[in-house]
Amino acid sequence: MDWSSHYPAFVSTGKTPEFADVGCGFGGLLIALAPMFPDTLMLGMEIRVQVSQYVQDRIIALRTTSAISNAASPEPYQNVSIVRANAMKFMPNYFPKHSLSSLFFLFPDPHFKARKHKARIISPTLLAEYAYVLRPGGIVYTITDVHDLHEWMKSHLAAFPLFEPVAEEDLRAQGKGPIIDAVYSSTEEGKKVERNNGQKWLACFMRIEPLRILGRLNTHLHQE
Amino acid sequence: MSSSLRQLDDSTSSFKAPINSTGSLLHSTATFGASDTDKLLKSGPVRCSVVDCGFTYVVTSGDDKKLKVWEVDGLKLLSERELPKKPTEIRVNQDAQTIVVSDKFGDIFSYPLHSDPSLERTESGGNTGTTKRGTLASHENPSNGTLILGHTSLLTSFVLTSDEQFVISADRDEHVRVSWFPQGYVIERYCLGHEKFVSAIHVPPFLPSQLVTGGGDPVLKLWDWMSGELLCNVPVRESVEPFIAVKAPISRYGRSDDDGDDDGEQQKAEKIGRRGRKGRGKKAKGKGKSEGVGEEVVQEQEQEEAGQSMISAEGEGTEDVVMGDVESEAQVESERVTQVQAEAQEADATTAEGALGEAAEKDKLVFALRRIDSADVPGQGQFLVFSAVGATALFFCVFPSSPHTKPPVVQSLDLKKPVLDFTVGAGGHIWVLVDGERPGTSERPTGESDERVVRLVNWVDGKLVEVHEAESETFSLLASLNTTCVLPATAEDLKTLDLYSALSSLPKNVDPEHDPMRRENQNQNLDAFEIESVASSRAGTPIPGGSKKGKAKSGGPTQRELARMKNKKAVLAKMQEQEQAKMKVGDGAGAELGGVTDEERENKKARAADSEGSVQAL
Repeated sequence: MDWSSHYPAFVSTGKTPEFADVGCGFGGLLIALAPMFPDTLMLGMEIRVQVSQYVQDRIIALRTTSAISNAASPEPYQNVSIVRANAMKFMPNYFPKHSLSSLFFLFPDPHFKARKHKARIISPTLLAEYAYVLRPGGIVYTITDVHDLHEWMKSHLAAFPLFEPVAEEDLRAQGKGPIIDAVYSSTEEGKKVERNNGQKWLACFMRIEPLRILGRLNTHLHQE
Repeated sequence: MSSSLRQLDDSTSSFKAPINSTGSLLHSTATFGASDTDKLLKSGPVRCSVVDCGFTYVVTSGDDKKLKVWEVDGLKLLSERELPKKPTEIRVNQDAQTIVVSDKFGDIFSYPLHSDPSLERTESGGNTGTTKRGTLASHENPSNGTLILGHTSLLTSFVLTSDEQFVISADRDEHVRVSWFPQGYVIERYCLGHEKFVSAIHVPPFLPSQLVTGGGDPVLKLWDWMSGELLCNVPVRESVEPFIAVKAPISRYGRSDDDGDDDGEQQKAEKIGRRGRKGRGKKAKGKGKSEGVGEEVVQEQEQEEAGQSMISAEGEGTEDVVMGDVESEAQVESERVTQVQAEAQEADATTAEGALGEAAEKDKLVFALRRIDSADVPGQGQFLVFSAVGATALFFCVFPSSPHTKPPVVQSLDLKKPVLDFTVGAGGHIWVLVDGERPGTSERPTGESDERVVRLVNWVDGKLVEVHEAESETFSLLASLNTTCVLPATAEDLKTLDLYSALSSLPKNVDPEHDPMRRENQNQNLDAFEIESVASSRAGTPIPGGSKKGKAKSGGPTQRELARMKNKKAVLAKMQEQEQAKMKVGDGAGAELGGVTDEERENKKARAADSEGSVQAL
């Protein structure tokens, strides 16, 4: 994966993205986070062509109009970019193993019908891929205004051996408050929910190390 | 639909002391009683099968999604369990305690070999995730299997590594994934590099740290699978292509790329056309594979060769279209042709999108590897052997030693009939299953064609040659495989078998060149004429997954596109201004130029995005 076209100002650093916004929509979250973490590369993934083109235009415009020729600090918005991609299928193609520190799922498509549940962005099989790109200690942030989806995501993440829940207060205590605030209110979706007086549910999880169980599988026991 | 399982059990002979080798048929479900046969007939063709190392059990499954475990001795059916989706591969682990199954949906499940009905009643869990099983509501699991891992596309093949600590799986989306076993949820590594579907993977027993993969790409890839490092590419397509005798029919209604269908089935529309035709019987052929080929004991190896299951089907009635009958061959071929036409017409009538109304297009050549294996031949070296779907030859090359400069040369052994499958025994003998009754095409006349279904191949001086003459122990097995093991089948049987379906189901229709983010209209001179020509060219490019609103009207650029171009123009103008300012002033003045603040621009862009269709011109 060649990042030089996405982050030209960071070519010499050899860095790869650490934040990924899955289904980033119109880019609200990343654009809010970019100035907060100017040394961290962040990438949005959006499957819709028109929307991703819009975000690309937006980033170019931001880079151009807020450029400061001050060589000391990195140029604003040089650390944020977008790719039109199907994150469910091609996540590992973009991010090396354990390279992300934060993974964002903001207001994902609820896929209400039971037969469409398998298309939800959080599923028992997909979580393995998210755990692969996320480093141990990395955080998954999920938020939605659909309570059923919130329960779904929470229970699947909790059941997955490589994730354990982490409370909002603990994250704030670790200094991640600004990130959480951005998760709540920086996206178009989030603002729409507020306009409609809806409720938002946040669920965060930390990626942990697995315990290697050696030896033959004993299938007569129920799994832990 | 009918299927029957026939298996050869050959008491073995070793190189040292021939014990007994008659090659005679011991068991066959074709000779079962009527009620049992009926049940089998309903099950459909056997698509996957495997024998355990000890040759005690055979596990089979097929399109009916029933996982059946048989005892080799007497072909006694021990258990029958339902799988959630159609299987693509079955394996048994070395201690014969666990069956591992991959399916078309992309999942791998494991089941205890011995079914315990008390464990298999699925607990009903709702979608709210309250129970353990409930959290797997996105994955059906009728027999309480253990979900090992899942890909997000059709899982074509998988292997367990020799120590069974890892499982390596490949899918249609070019992924090769190495995961822990049985903790498949921990992904150790991806071997990324394939540009087309991966349909064959293999870990050579003599070099278990390496992995060979292939599929639609014109090369085989050799990896160190633990690190994901690509060691070597072996170009194969040029050597294979001349032998491809079977082509994929071009489907007229764009086949959907989404293999998240309920059964991961492709060609759903075509199946609608076929539904009215319930074949009375069909012929299923497959080759059983045994695990643990690396056994020292030759005796077991011979047994393994014998233990391949030749799965053939029998019609319900007493029709006897004898295979290999020269007269009926022409009939079969013409029947096949008429069936294809009839089906095309039928499907035409049922397709919802409206038929194109033209004659079916010519078939197209599809390159797809079927199986990769390796052979460690004493005194001759180590080799890679592989076959391709629809190709009439078996291909081989010296096993690449890495790192090296030149990839090995691929050679071929022409068997004149399409190779369906093959299996390598210890010592290098290769048993090959061919489509013996497929007539040669006009481009490649087969002349006096060898109609036998099973062929035997061996290594001589580092090359593969066919074994014809009586050669001690193996000949009798070869002869009886080609006679007593073969069952009659009708043309419909053959159609249902759909032996070359991979040619249609594996390739994707996505154009890899088109990147919607690299837009064509990057030119800076945006006068009216060019705006129009650029917009219409954009209308012509396919936008995969784009919404309907994105399609430009044929009568010129949409208002949104005009607005976007004007935005672009302004941004470019601004950039040019800054460049000039920098050159003039030196530093620091760029940001102050330009009348519109970026906040205003932000708001305008946000508004333009919100109100789709209405335009805010800058």
